[in-house]
Amino acid sequence: MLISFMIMLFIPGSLIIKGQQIDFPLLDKFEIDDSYPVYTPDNLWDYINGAADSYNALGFKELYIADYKRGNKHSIKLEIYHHANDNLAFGIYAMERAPSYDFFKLGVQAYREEGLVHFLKGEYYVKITSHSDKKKILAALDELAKKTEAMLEGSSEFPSGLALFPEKGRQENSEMYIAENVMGHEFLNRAFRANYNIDDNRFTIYLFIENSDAENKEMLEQYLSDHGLTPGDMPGGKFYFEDGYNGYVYLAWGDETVVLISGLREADTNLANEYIGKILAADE
Amino acid sequence: MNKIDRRKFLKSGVAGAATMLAATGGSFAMLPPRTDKSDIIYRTLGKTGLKIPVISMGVMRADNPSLVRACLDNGITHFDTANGYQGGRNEKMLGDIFRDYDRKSFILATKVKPAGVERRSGLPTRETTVEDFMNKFEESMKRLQMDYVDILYLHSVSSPEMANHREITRAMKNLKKEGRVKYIGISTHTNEPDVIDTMVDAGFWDVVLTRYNFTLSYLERLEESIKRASEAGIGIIAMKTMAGGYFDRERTEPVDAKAALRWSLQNENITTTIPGMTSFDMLEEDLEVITDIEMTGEDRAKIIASVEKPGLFCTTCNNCLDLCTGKLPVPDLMRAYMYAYGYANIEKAHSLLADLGTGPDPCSDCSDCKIDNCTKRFDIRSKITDISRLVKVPEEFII
Repeated sequence: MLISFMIMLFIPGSLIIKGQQIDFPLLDKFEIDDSYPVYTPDNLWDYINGAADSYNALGFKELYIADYKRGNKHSIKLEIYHHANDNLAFGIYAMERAPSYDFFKLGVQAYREEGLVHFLKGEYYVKITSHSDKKKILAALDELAKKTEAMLEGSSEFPSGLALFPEKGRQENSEMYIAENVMGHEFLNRAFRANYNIDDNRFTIYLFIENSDAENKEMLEQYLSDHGLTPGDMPGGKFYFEDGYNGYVYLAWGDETVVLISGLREADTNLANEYIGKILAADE
Repeated sequence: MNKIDRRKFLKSGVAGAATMLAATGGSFAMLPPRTDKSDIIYRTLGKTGLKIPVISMGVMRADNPSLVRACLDNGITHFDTANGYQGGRNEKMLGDIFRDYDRKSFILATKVKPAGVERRSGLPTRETTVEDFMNKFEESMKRLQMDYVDILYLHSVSSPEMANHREITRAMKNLKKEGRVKYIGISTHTNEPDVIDTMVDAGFWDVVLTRYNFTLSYLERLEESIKRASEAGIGIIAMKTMAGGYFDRERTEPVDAKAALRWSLQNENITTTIPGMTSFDMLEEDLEVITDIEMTGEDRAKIIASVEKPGLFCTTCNNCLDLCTGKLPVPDLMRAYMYAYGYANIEKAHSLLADLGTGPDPCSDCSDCKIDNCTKRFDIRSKITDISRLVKVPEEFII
């Protein structure tokens, strides 16, 4: 129990116990109000209401919050969402970004909209917002973003799985990470997704790269058995079938990667083969 | 309809449609609906007169257009989204889907959350402006690609002051007059009874979207407000009927969806519920309720068992105060426990305990605890004994 652990720590000269467990960066001329609780999966709902479901589904661990106040008029809010790993943090960040945003490099990636900067770094998704339109406050907001990014540990690169998506026709910043219920199926989990547009052929590619061989086999067996098929001897296989309301899909797999393409018709088999081939070759 | 057949159909489509990649034949076609629509149970949404199936779709977390289409094909007609869901992607997805449907074939509700509302008090601030509200509304309309929305909610209201915000409510009434919004409402997740009472008193609201589930400690009070609102003609829509979906933070103990939905629909003042759906399995479960809201014995047993799970948070009902022979401030001590174990905020727990001055072992004078009326069924003595040990830790060791 937490308290028992604390009592054990109560030895002069031992570790210092911290409430918020985070040192918020200082900002000149601003006072920091960090009296917020550290939100956890149990009570995130108290802070962001129903949106908490999406965060919890993507491995949310803690939320740290501070208000930076300058006088009575101006404030900047810093929210640091900590998720269980880089992929899950990317998932929640990507879910809330729109391809049309004004992106720039900070951490993995950042974007700026009126009165806000959001960025991703490693396991952290950071939101910094202000309702002020004063240049000084917005400059302070940018400064806070840089300082926070420098403070946080973690990778400044996109999850490596995204590199498997072929570039041709890929819609920039359409990439997502879906933790569960991919295409509405409870047995399809942990996939990267990207949208494509080639000569008015709009389609979506899902990549499953995190599963073990056994997990992939179980997933494929369940998916295909609903259509009277079996995956056969792993590895390697290609199928094309009608997946209920999702329409026709192409499903293929190699040693460690499963590729699912939706949105292409039977006449597009060559195109599907081209993309499947590129992805599986890149994974070898 | 055979349950297993329908599930398989929703998930997989027609049998024999699968082929090896190189094979030819087959054509893409929308699958026919599998729910017998004549069996769907409808209720009327207050004075709006809208007839809505008892199950609607909470779209918030859905990102698969096929799931929305499956809902439509199976008789679900009311879809609930919001300006802020998925950074706007949610509304955009719905706009892209619904442009292919007759506008009168579905009911679309969206929500706009005003800026600057104090999270803790729910009070508006100087940053809570009608300009911000209208900008967000216009943004929603653009994403939805519609001339009007059926229901526009003032989102996440938790104080009477916000429910009565003069400029924003005036703007909403104007939108209704202009026909860009058919009905106006409020969504509320906190302090719901007071918010609903305020809506009734105001007299112009059409719909309330309120949290409503079997775990709420103030259920009786909430049901009184709901009844009053219903009698005033306000349509009542229930959300969070599954109380978060899980009983534990590890998400290993799911709430029984059908039992929870049926429980909420036993209240006839509730017109419809908006369970969040992200999978065809969830839709399948919900479709079982849309035609059958009768609670089974098994449903009741599940609800009773669920209510008995204590959770972590004291509801401050204060029932315990009269029974504590040591006259301890039990709800405050439970709050300290919550700070430590729920929020991981040791500093706050320590500070509260210091303020309370109850010492490191406040239950030591009692041989047994007389408190047997805790609405959360907490083991109060055990929790107090546990948290009070923190008093022994000097303040300088807690920063």
